Amino acid sequence: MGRLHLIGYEKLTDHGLALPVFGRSPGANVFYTARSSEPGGARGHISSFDHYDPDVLVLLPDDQIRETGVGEPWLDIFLWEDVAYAGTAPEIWDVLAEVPDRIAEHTPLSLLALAEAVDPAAAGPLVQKTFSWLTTRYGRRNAEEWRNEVHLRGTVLKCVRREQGAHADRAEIRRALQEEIVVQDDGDKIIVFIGSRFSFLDRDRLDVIAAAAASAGVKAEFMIQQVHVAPYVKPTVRQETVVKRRTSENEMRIAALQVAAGKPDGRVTTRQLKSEVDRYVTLTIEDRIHSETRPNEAMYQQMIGNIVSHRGAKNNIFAKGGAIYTGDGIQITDAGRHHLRTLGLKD
Amino acid sequence: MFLARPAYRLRNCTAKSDQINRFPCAFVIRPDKLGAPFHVYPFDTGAGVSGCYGDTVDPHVYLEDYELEPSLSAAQRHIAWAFGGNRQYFEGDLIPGLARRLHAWQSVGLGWLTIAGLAATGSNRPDKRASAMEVSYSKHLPLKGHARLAIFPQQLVEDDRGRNSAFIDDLTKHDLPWQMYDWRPNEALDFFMDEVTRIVRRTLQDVGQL
Repeated sequence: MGRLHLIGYEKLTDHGLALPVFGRSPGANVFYTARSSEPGGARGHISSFDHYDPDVLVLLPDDQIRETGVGEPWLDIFLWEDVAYAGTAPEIWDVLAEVPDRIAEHTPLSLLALAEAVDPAAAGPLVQKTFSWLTTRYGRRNAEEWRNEVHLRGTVLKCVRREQGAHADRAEIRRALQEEIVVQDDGDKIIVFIGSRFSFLDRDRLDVIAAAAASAGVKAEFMIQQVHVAPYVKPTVRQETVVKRRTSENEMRIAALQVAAGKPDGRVTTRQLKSEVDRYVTLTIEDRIHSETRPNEAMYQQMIGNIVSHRGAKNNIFAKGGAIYTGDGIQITDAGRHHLRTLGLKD
Repeated sequence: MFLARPAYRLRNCTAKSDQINRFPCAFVIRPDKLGAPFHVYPFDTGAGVSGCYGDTVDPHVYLEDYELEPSLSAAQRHIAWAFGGNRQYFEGDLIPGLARRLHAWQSVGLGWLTIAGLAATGSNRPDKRASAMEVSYSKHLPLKGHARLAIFPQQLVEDDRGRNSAFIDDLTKHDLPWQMYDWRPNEALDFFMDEVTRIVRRTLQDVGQL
């Protein structure tokens, strides 16, 4: 399509983010909207343009019109007090830097949307402000509804869709995203139910969701749920059974031996085990959630720590002669290497 | 409006533009006090007239031939016949093999099944309007006393100029609950429809209608 100009916008309200409208030239009478490479996300660029017929087009002043094209950063329009601010989200954020408190006082949801497009991590403090604003204005029930259904669920959706890429546009995935990601308020914590088909979320993604929950003042727990969503022959049924999946300690012991077997002299430190064990075992979401007793560690890392430190346990790798304790980790023995070979694993 | 299912009209339904309403709002209406509808069709007639169903439409069947008896009970009978239940209707999933139960001369029924197949989950790009029951009334509907849920973009609860309390106050005064979805300019068009659909689905599930 070549290059276009950001020439105006169509607004939803008189404030906040508006829909950018493009044309071939400032005086164009054929209009376009852009698609983002990362729909709803913060780091997207313009991936294509669609012909568009705006109901009410508001033109930008000449000095705000700018040329852009496919592959270039996403451009936003932010309306505040009868002024349209055009540019990338960081550019707009910088311009509005002097008045964020006033914006937050009246339009915290819009400010949060802009802040998330600048830096999702830095948007954290605004979440609590937004929650408080909604509570004051519309009551706690509506505020909690927003926190759970819009903000937290939206964060999960963004993570999943980012991982899925174009696959997320497929009809069955769109339907599954509606039904298989559920945020449930459980008193002092939020439980995020994630359909098993989306259990590929890695630790970084879960941390993003957990941080979003923490910024809203609640703790998040993650649960995998088995859901069948299919056409008529298999009616949509949400299974009540929630399956908690965590790699067994025995599987983790074998993975630890594999890590050690790959090292010179078969020696590996506990720290190395914790960082490298995921090369040998496919970690689940349950493995990756943060430990309650050791907040700086994921559950699987805590399990590795226990395997090394609970040397007296009768089922551990030391008692079975598979490894010896070295003071800062383990060293695999010939018996340990033999055990791996009997399992068909490289020693 | 559509029976128990959100379905958007496209402003322009050519394959190139594919424009869905960019700022969708939806109301869930309680029809029990509305009286008899003016007409009931088994799909969105506006989309049909605009050619949105493409080559699937039988050119020998007039639009009016698809019209059902103008009553909600006729709509319910149609749902039972074609979908088997409210949940399947909501998802647009037809009873498998339904076309085989019809004779070749039943061109209206066969034509409708072809159109309605566009809304099924298995369709490449489901167009829910293709089997959304269109219910029209001969007069404007006051939301007061009839609406049971409003769904709109979250920006609408914020202040524009001065404190914006009138809008929500009005909804509260009419005892009308509301729910928001996250509107963003860089969001995919289908996302808004999916969010509205999800909220409506949950609402209907909560009251045992799905």
